[in-house]
Amino acid sequence: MQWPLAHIHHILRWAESGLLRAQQVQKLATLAPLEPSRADWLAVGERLCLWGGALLLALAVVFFFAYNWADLHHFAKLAVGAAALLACVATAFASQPTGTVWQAALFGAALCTGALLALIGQIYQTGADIWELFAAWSALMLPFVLLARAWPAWLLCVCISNVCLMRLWHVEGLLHSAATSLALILALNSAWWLLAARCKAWMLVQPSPTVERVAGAFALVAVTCGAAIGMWEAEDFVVYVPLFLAMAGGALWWYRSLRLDVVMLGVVACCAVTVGGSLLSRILFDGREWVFGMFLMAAYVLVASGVSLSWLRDLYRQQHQEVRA
Amino acid sequence: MKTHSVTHLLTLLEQHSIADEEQRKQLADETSNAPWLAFLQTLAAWIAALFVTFAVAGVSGLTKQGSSVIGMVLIGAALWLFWAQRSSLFAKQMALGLSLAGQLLLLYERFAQGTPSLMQGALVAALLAAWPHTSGLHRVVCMVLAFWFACYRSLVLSSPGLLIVVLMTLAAALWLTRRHWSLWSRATYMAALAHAATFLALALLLWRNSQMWSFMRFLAPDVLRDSSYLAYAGGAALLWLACAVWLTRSLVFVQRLWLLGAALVLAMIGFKATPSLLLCLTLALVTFYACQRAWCALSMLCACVLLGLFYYSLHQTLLFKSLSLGAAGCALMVFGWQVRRWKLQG
Repeated sequence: MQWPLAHIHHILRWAESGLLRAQQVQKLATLAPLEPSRADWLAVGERLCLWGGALLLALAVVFFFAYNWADLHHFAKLAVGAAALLACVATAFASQPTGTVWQAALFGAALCTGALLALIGQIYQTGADIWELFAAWSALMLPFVLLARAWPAWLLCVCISNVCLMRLWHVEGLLHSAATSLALILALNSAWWLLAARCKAWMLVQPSPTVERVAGAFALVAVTCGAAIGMWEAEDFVVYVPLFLAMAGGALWWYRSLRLDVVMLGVVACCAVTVGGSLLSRILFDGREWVFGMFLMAAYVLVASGVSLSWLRDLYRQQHQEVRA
Repeated sequence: MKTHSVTHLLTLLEQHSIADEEQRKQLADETSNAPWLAFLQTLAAWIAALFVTFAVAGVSGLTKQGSSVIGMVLIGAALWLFWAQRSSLFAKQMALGLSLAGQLLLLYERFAQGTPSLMQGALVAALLAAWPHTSGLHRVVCMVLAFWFACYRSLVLSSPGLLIVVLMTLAAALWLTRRHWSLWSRATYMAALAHAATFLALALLLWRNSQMWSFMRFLAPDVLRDSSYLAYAGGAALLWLACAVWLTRSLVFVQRLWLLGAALVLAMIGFKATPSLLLCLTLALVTFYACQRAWCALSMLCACVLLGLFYYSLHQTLLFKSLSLGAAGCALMVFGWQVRRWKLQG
């Protein structure tokens, strides 16, 4: 018999907390040693060495080109980018579809697409704004992402599309106001969130909640920023307050009643505490003495976080029990 | 039921008559603490503590002694809450926030006064860390503060490299011996010490390699120094080799020779090029051995960040960096191939 790593961690943690006595731990140690097995070491060693070695070699090439960059001809630079992209695609098609190598190679191809675009922009000075580069990158990487069907590739796509909108925000005269920019970010992430929640089966080979959680957190953070500012002004941002209530309420209902996800509920709780803090600070600090307000804010943060954390821990326990059942 | 689930472990405890029903219930409850919940708890407590500190700072006419008295009252209230409501997470959260606010107030207006005041702060934090009937998280936070205040002027500003090596050595020693001290009656203090040393070592590692450190050293070369680069690099390589020797102690000769050879090659490259990466890898290995998956993953993440920062390091040329990375990558690939052979051989 061999202990899984998670079991060893639990046993030692229980012993450290005094919940398991020394004799009990020793009895468990007689069943199997309380340390990673040879198979665990070989598995992690192989993964670490091969992935780490590949990463270091790739970085060595990047550093070498960076050292000689100024001396390279335009065509040589483009050839480097294109060769990297082609190598990734070739590796993917030479490997087993939907396997780890396939996914990693297509993820690499998605990254190389951006590098190639940046290279073209740098060499030919196309005059394009940087948001256009990110927009083109997120559009052109989509075929690779759709083929890879892996969460890291989708996460890259979500992040790059967000960077695109962030850069768009800084372009003067293109968007009417900060509220409009925030609305765009909110709309984009809400779309990603819905897509990840509803179409998980065809998006991913192995189910993972990561994309849904990250997109959901981005959308909730965007609406929270809008609502927190909306508490202080009555013009553009005030519309975010009811929007926040609707989205946070919907997420609470969805992740509490339909599909228990404590991480997402944690995000909702953090957002709710932030908007509540903004409302309270508006009431306490708007033209009044701030010292007393600070004390009340401290009390609010402690009470609200304490209540939220107790609730989340109970749910976490419940989630574990549901898994057990 | 998944074989690595807590339920499976609890069933094993039942099957081997190691724990009764009541104890198994306690163990199941203890498992219901995710690391990210602890992170949120600490973050909220810090925010609340800062609000309290600013509020007290804003009270007109309050003297230094007055703020110290308020600080002590808050610490007293925190200890009472820990003692009276030890099973309630809500009370623990309140107590953590009050304790942090109290410690900040005790140090308020004294921070700029030099080493003696910081040592007082370190003493208070250490006392609170050693206090019985508080939470594990509170102990870790207090130990981090105690370390920080005690070493701020002597090591953090003048030779952070040396401090990182000392903290890493402490963390490595504690994690490597975890299965021995976890049976001690004071194991909870050892666990807090191990977590605090690991956290501070990783945080300082990132800080020392960041652009901000280089920029601040440029602005204040008399205050911020790192006079002990040789000790840092040498310490990192020695620690890496010592851990490799310890971890391979039960292997057969040929395998041990292979592993120690690979470790030596990496130590030589890391010593010259990037000792920080070597330290991160050491921490990842020892935390894996201690089955601390969260710290192992964070160490690997830290290693990736350090690789990114390595590009901007001004110590070596890009060519030297490229050659070092290439050599380390080749060594890892060769070694990975050998590990794969062992794996296939069973």
